Amino acid sequence: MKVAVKKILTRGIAVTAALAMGGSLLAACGSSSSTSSNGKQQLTLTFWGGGDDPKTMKKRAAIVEKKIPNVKLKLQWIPKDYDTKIQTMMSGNTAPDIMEVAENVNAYSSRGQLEDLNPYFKKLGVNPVQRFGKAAVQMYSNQGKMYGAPDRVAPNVVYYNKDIFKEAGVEAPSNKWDWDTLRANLKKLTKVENGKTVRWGYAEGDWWAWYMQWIYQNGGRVVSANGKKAEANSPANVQALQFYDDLMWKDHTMPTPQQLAQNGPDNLFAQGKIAMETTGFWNVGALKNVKFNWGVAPIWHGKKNGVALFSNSLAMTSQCKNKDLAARVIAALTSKEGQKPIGQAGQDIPANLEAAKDPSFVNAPWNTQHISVEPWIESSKLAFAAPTIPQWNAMTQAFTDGMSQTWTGKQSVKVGLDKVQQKLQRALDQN
Amino acid sequence: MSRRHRETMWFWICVSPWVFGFIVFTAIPMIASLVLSFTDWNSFQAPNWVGFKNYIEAFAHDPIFWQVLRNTFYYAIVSVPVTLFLGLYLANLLSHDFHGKRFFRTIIYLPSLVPLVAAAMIFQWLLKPDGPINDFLGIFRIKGPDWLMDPNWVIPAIIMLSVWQVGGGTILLISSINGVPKALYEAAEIDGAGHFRQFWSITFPQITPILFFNLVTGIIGAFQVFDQVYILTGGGPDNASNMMVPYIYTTAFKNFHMGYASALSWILFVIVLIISALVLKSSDAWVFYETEVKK
Repeated sequence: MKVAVKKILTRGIAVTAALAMGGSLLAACGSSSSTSSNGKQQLTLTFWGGGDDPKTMKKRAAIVEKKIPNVKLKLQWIPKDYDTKIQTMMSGNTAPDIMEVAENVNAYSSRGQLEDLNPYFKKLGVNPVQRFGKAAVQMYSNQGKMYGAPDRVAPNVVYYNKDIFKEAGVEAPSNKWDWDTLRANLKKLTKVENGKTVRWGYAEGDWWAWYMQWIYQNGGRVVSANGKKAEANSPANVQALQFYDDLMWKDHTMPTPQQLAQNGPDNLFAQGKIAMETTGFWNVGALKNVKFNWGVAPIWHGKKNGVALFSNSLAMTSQCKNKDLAARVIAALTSKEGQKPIGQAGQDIPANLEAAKDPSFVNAPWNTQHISVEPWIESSKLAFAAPTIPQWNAMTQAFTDGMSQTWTGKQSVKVGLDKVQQKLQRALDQN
Repeated sequence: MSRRHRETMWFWICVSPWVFGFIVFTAIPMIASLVLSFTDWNSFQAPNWVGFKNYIEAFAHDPIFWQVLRNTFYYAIVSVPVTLFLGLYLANLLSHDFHGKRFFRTIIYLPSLVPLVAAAMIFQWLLKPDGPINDFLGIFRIKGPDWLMDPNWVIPAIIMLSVWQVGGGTILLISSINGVPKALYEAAEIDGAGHFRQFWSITFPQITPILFFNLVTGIIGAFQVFDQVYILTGGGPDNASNMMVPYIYTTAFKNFHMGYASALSWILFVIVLIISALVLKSSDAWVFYETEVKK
């Protein structure tokens, strides 16, 4: 008996020690260097993603290195726990020179970790608004300073099942639809057999891009312009999310979270169980082998136009060793040429508007279905800039937490938004 | 060098990796986090000293802290005894000789070999509102809850996952039950003791050290529960299943309140310390060591 315990204890200690030593080895190889042997300046670039992302980034780095001969880009791919790792690198003074960053950009910038790109871009003669569009630039700016150069920006669009639309006799969706049209059409698209819904009209994800879209289309917003006051439970927001809630719980034209369970809208659409969804460009790849005809269209409008942008950007850290050079690299990566590999791989919409419109994108091998990129280009013009406040993570968490019981039908929209308001205001006060 | 000196030297050489590991990976970080818990460190910029503000914030102003603490206690108070008694029951059954013993031991032990991440994914599927578990309940005309989406049922669901992995403790108990001297049972049988009596008067006291070990590690593990929560529910719905360690993690690494997270860690540490001390103290009353008898 005692032998057994002893064995287990020693084994436990051995494993712990092995883990600890492994940890120390890992910690040792995180640092970055400066000048490489052949006199080139080395800059580290961190990015996330999966699948083809490292391949595409490698191609883009090669283009940039050709354009700027004295730079060598050291690519560091961090597929998991990206922000945690970046945070650790920054506090350990081994931050990358250039990093990919998304909507939580100002969590870093407000804590002095990112460099304003505007003066550098000015020197290089690049006009960000012209290059990326207003909404994208605004999302990566804070108080007139731009902390990230938009890199991949895809507006949310409608994907619709043409076969179902034909069967239900509904015209193709468009930006001309208002909420009433949408509601009426969803009823036509939903199919009930023997009291059980076999097909819903619509489904969407449970993330900021979707609930904010309803809010912005109804003329609402989430925080005040200065980012100090929460405006989550304004009458406009309550009305907007009530409309959405009614689609689920009154009209039953949308699946409830219980019905959705782990099956996301993208899956349901590919299975032909919903007539349409709104989602990002990534869905094109997922629909390669489906058996029905499908199309893409810009999203409907409410009192206003409001389309969410799925995006990320490239930022320069304040620990960067050669800022002028890093700025040139960022400018080159977001130039028409530097963005081409993104479009050619069919991974995303390049943030550079010229690259997005370029025939090399539309005619690339990914586009086996000959989809027009027009709906995305058009939607970019209808986009709103999400409030990328420093408390971005806490804000999205406040919505998820506050609204969770509303979406499962256990509390009203108003109660949910009141909870969000309180949580969000607390996060804003805490900074 | 005398033999004595040589042995001492070898002792230090052999033990040094663990001493080093303890100092670098446990002692220094602990001291650092204690200091940081009195600052507003955001993990990027120089920290400012704020005194007891973080501790006051937790106890007086943060509603989530109390909710999370309550959830953690709920989880620990239910999951530890359930796992312990179920483990003991199974171990007792499996220590007897019967046909297919090895097969059942394997079945019971197997779940604890499944990595928690994978196990959590399986449970996510099992616990879907229209998933297998609710289908099963439906046979008995019971309408199953929404489990992971229902604030009242989400912690029981997480407890189910930890109970499913009861096998680790069971194996320990089986080996300790088998280690009880057979002579004791033979003597008891002659005295006319039945199965239950034998278990209570011989098996149980003999294996109390292992039960005690399982209890202490179980309590510490339960208060530090992380993976199950993080993967299964992310703490939702609305923090209904959020526990101390996941909350500390989000506070530190999602919201960058490293100072506050350090304070929360120390609060948790003190709680676990007090409870462990109480359990240790209680061990005099019910844990039986053979060596004590000989004294």
